[in-house]
Amino acid sequence: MLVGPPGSGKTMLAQRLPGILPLLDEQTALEATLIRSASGEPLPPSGLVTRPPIRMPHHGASAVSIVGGGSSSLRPGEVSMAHGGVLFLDELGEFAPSVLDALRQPLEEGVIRVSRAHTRLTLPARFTLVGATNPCPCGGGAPGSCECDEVALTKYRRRFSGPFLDRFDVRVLVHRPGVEELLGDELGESTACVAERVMRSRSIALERQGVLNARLSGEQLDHFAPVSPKGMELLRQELEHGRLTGRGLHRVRRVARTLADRQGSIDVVSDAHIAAALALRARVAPRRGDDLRSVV
Amino acid sequence: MSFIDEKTMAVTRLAMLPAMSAQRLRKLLSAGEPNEILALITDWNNPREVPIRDVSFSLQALLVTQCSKTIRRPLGELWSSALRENYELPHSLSSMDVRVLGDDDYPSVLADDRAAPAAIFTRGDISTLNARRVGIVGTRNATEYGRQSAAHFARVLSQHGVVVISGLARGIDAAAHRGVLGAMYADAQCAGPVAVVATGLDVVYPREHAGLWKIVGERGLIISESPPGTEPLPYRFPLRNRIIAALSEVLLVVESRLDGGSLITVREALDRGVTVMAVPGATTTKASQGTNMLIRDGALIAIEPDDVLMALGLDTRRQVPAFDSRLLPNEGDSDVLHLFGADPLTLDDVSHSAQRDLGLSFGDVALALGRLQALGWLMCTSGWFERRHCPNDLGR
Repeated sequence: MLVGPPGSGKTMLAQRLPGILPLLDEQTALEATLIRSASGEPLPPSGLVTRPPIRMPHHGASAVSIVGGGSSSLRPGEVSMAHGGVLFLDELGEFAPSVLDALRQPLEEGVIRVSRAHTRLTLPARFTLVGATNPCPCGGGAPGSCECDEVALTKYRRRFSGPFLDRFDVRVLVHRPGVEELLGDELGESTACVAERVMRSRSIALERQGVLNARLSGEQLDHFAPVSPKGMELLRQELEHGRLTGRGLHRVRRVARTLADRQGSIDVVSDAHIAAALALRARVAPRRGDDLRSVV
Repeated sequence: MSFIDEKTMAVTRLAMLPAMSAQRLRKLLSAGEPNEILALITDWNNPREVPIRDVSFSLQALLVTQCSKTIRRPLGELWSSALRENYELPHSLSSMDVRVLGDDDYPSVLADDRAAPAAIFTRGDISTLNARRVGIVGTRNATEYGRQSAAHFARVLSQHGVVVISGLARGIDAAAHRGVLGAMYADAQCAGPVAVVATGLDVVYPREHAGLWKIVGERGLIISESPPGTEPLPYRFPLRNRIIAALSEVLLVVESRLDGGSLITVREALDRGVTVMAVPGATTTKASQGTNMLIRDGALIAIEPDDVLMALGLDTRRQVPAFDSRLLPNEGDSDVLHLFGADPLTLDDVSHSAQRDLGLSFGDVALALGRLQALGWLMCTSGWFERRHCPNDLGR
């Protein structure tokens, strides 16, 4: 989930994402090709979809177009078209609640079940969901610079319910680059460079446990991603303060495992990894802090 | 107050009439005893029962005025039919006091004001107002710096026996009340909080301040011009601001935007010859633009509470020693802390400069930020990190 004012590069970041993902494996490539073919969209020249797809449906999209279906012939929806790749929802808060609800099943199970009067169909839909949103209606966001009135803000806040935000592994604030960053000489990393790093940590994970970190179950987490005592203490504090839910706990541990993999083969997830994973779950929903602790 | 006397009921009934305004209520109540006025208006539709000579000329003029441009109906007629419906008075009336302008129990500091409300509803101890009074106002969308400043000024003023008046709104107002309550918590001799609200005393707005609202009523005083049951209507807030200005001897603006509602309070204060002081802020922060402009236009600068005490003529040297009870961060963490200036930073900003200048990994930065937050040196709101200043000794 990317939160940032307009022009901060949320879309740019999301579009780079398929580039840093490795090419699809044989099975997924076949599935993706079948789906692409069923949708009627042209296939790549080689005939096989090997690059991870990115789908960017507009926020006016209907639930059927996202899920799949149709009256005369069933067509795969955006969630299936994004199989193996990225589903990017810009202006996440603008999507109809029914559309966002429909995403739950594919996110949890990796498939989508479409039922119509005369057919029932299960389509693969395993994708990375990337959401982007403005921090608040005016786009300002930073403390003291937001210009929204209370009513607009309350309305906006309601769209980002706790359980909904909880489903994101990573939530980060992005902000407009400064003049120096835009015009400076310092070049960012190239996509290829990042892709190699991704490749390396993925292969570490696969070698260790046979699946990607994102698919680790609770038991497997205990086995493959043990947390150091200090890291456990951090998690305990977060849970006790109500800043972390059970679902969030597992997500944090998976992200921390990945962060550890990035540094090479480390068996135990340290407190720094846990802290970093927690920091990547910023509480980004627009909120006006009237925190009692902050004053008295 | 469990027993509601007839006068209280009459005043409340009059105040709750449709299309009632502060001015109209003032005219009504100045025409005679509330009970008589009430009886007279109830019979207004029935001219045989109201001999016209019994009604003063100004009251007659008011009652034949049309309600508004859209409702073309004489006020007398509208009110008369409203009173005949004989609706129930809200139960919450028993938990508040009604004070009518001109009576002994009406606060004298407000009575002399040219736009004094004809009647006020209060909850709490009215004698709280018998002290030196400073109004603290500011934006609802405050920064951590603003909230801390407001709480700090309020706390020290309260410790010196100065009553802090604010509006129980979000942001600066709430911080000011909490500062006073914090001082009272440590020492019961401190001056109590005073809040002037725009809604009825039984309509808590904003709702998250229900707890604060209750404590302010118990430890200090809540005042409202609006009868019980009045919803938060936009036009009532500027009217409330005039009461804050009228009650204050010094008005302190902590953070305000260029178009902030606090500037309405400032205007009202200047009209009344009340000293206006402003807390300066970073020129880059929108929330401080209004206060910085006030300073440029000649408002007194309030950098520490002593400045406000001086303006009140209380030339006290600081009696409360400055003491920072926070544990010092370790060396590595304080390097991270030094990356913070006046502006809030995102995680990205911090980790970027920490990686460049200090050579810290992302995980180390996250750990440092967590520790600094736990020790009270940093504050995180919606993903933005801000530096917190010492609760007792701001800006030193």
